[in-house]
Amino acid sequence: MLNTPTSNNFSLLIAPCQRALVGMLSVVLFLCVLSFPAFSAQPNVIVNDSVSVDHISLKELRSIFTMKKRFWSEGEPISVFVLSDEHPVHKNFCKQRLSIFPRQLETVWYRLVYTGTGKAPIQVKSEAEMQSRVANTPGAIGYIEIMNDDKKTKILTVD
Amino acid sequence: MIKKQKYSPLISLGFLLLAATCSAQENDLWPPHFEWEAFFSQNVIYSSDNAFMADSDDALSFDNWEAGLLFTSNLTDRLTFSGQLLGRKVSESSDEDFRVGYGFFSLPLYQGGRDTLGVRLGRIRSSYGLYNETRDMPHTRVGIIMPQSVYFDKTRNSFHSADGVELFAFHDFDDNRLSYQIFLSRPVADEDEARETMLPVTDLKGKHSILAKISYGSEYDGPRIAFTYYRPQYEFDIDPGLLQSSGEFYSESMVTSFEYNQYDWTFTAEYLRLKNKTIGVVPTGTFISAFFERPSYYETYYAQFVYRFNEQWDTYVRYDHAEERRIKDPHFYSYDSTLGVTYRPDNHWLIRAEGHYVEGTSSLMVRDNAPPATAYWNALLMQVAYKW
Repeated sequence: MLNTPTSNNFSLLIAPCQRALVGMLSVVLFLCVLSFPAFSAQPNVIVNDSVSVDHISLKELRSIFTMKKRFWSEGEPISVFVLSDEHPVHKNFCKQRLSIFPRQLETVWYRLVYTGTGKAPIQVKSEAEMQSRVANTPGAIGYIEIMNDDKKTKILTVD
Repeated sequence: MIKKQKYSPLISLGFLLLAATCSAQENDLWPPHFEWEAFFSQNVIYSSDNAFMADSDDALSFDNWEAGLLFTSNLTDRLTFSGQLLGRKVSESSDEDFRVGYGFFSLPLYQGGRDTLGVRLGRIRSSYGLYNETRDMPHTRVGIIMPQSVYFDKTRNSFHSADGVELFAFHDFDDNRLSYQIFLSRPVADEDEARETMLPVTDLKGKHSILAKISYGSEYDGPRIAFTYYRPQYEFDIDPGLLQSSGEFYSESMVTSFEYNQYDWTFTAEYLRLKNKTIGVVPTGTFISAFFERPSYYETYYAQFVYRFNEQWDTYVRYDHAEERRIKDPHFYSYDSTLGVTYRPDNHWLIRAEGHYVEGTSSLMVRDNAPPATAYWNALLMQVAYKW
């Protein structure tokens, strides 16, 4: 036989939890205030100059950085370079270019890597290394906020 | 004596596959590229009544934790090996459990621009539902406790991974992926989880299982739908009496999944139709066979909404509904309303708090809750997790 509470001790039973739930709701409302977006510069999408296209759609860009699209239209393999999850340029790129939270992108890569169905992008430490690696890798794509003069890389416009 | 199947002989077979692949190609990838992640999570649980995955009945319990090491290696330019070592403590009456969560080889047989066909071999994580593949780490799942109507913790090891071979294929439509999987395996049998059955089982072994899944959509924009069919079958010995000395048991799950993603929110609903049936534990045609071999049907679902405020904070609300068809006893249903908050101070730390208001006890572990259990109960949980 199960113990079903009477109305009196049931109220006592749930009172602490009700207070905790109200507390959590207050936190949620407070966070709504904090959640207004902060605006900053959109990172540029850069590619190795071997890539023949100059424009790319948002869908194509997302399919490249979620490691679905693996080849350019001419058949050249795509090498994807990213900064670390905590790098501010990576955060800006995810939010403003891809419209994906960095942790969602990380979950997509996690699923690919640990199910053996795909590979994660190559992580670099700085914007300088990003530009250098993209410049020296045919078919490479990455992103950068401040572009140094370099004839081996070019900026893609995102439609 | 019940044996835990913690290691897979198929992994050894996979190493033979590796040797064959290595000898057939230039070996400029040696030593292989290696990636790893590790995590640890400590949960604090308080429940007004009943033991909820810890000794939490009207007490704060710290006796619930998980730790894992995940690694993957590109052994050749196509062949990868992925594995997970897992330790966890999730039951008051069970010891700490350490096991190979999974360890498998993955080989794409064909890779075109948009199409991939591949095979996996070893102890493989079941792709059951939308989230079984990403439920390991606190950082990649929603909530401290998975929705118990679909992702049972009390029989998690039996549903989580199995030893076998899986064929997978997918076709990409820009942002959306259409994928198919078929997985033939021998299910993992777990000593402690056998105690969740009502029978005096003394030796549980996985016999065979099949999983088939189709899914379509995107994990971050717009809809994602999936359908999973999973039917593991086990064989066991039992203490004789009125019963035969052995029997079999199978569980047939059909999960229909829907998810819709926008930039700052996700809505998920999954519906499970589950049939459990025991075979051969009593002589066929006897008056008790109708009782022991009567299948049980469960209709379960959950709906969940996640709102992401910013990079650090999100909140989630969930209604989780499980019940055995036509039985209105609180032991056979569980209606759980959950509200939670997650805070991620950086890429490593995660702090969560969630509250559950529950009617019914079917989600509780039988091994921790000798009847009578209290039908109306609440729980508060807090989690601190770190990943490397």
